[in-house]
Amino acid sequence: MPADPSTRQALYRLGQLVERRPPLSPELPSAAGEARRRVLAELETYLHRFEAQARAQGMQVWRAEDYQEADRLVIERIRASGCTEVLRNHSPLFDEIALDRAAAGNGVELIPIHPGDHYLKLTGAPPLHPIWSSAHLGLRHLATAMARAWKVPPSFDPDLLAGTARLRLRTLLLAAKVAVIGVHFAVAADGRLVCLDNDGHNAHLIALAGHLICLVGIEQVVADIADLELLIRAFSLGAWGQDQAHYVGIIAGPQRTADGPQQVDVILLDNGRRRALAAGLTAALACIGCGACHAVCPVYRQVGAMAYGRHARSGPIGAVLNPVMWPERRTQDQPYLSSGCRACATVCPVGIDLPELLARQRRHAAVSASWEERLVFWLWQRLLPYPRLFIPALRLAFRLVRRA
Amino acid sequence: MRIALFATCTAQAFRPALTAAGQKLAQALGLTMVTPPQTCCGLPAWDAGRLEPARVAARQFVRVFAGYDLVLTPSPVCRRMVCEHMPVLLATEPEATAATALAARVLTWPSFLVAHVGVERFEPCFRGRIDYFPACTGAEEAATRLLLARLTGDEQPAAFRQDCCGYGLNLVWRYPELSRAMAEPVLMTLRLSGAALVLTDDVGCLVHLLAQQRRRGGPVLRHLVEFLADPDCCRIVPPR
Repeated sequence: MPADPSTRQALYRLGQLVERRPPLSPELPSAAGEARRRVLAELETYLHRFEAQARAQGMQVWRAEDYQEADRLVIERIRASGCTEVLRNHSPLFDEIALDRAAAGNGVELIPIHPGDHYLKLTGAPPLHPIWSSAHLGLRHLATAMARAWKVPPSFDPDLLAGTARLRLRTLLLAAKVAVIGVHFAVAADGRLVCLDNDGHNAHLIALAGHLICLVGIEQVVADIADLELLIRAFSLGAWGQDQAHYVGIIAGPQRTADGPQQVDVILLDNGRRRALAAGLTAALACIGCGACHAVCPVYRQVGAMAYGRHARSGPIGAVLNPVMWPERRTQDQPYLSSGCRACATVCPVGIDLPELLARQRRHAAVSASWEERLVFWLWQRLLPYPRLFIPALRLAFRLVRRA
Repeated sequence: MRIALFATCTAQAFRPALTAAGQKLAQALGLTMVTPPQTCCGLPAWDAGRLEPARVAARQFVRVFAGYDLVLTPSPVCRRMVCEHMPVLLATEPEATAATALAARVLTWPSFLVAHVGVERFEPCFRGRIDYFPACTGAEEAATRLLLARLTGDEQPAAFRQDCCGYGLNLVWRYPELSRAMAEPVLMTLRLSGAALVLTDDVGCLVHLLAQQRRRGGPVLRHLVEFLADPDCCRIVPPR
């Protein structure tokens, strides 16, 4: 279950990076949380408003019920463009809908232009974290993969490797025709789509690709510019510990000038989100995907994102949402991936009460618990009034667990 | 004032010395404290999402401890169960009022010692560096820090702002391998710290870390209460 030692070391460093940040000011999580709740309380209204505004800007909008439909829609759009090599940015949405694999099966190569994701593709490794996707790839691992994939002389000089990668990615960018973009926010008031990053790959994709296919989770809609400003701050603080992402890429529909896309398609993805809302997990869907709760979670720091499932969310928020969003994939036990340490209680920039949600999901999991668990607690309850039996039984139980 | 020791099931099963140290400390401070027969506060069941067994444990807890003015515990995590979850758990039961009233009277040792005894009554005589491993619930940290500042003579006693050591009963039981792996970085930091003695304020962390440390060596790990009750480490002076 725990990840390999080098991954755990990377996770540990990631945690230290986050722990050195100053604590969030208490106003931000409550204000940002309020902005999220405002939309989630009337999601359908805001979705319709966004769709209408996006269409008014000249975008085409689709809705995808599940990940298969999202895959099909994206691939149809790519096919319509006649392109077989398509660039993409960095977004956990691509892992959620397994787009890389679906595209490959349809003869389309999806090339990540985000350096971290590009390395993942070269090495075939799974992502580690929603933001720091490739933090577990060591220099040696990376250098070997680069030398093999790009037929360059192997080198362990980080500057040289970065230079080589930059040249490769720039060449790809300058030839970009079609790009698939997972966005961070969709603004209902004016139909704009927003992506944040610290390396500029989104801004380049938006400016250089003529045809953008944008993927948005339905919960990522925000009401207006004021809320957007707040949530950009929340995301930037959660993801990078800075007030503002270095780059804010804005997609405002097809442009009539030379710069910017000529065609913008938007796919709104449900894939279990409405089910989560119906199951009373509105508070959890307020998540903006910054990954702050991951980095502080001591369980996640041992297991990495892989343990939560290749397509599911990871970290404490994944442990809350996965049993509802991916019920068919044996995710029911994930709310127990927590020691109850409350490290995630104070780091969420939109103020999600993760310990409470984990407890809630455990109460749900307990309903369908195994007969062994029922037996253990039946015995436990029976022995409670008798210290002379209870204490030795506890000792015995621990001995059995340690031996297992 | 009638004082009871809420010894916790973990200490009773795996660290009887801690319960004895608690009694010794109370005696040295001139307090009358009893340790009524008890088992568990119900945290494992609450943590597992099983409210009915947790409620049974909570009712029993209220029955055992309702008659005391003050209840002391060596575990901030167990205290959280009593003070935060128990009143909610018993809200619609006949024990509701008793549970709410009891919640205000359950204290951890450091909070009690700082508020009602005074840190100046402890004269540390331990030679060697002391570090502190805080329980990750963090609720009692202010009092523990005051006490430690007195014990180490250091305004800012060294504390490991560190991961959870992996003791949650549900984690130990469901994912034993994961729970063991979580202790590793903690033990590594303790080994590298160069401290002669590491104190912790939660019996759960102590028991779990000791079990994982057995094979590896490292500094001596003790509960804060054991340190205070040990005349070789700390002398107790009469109140001024």
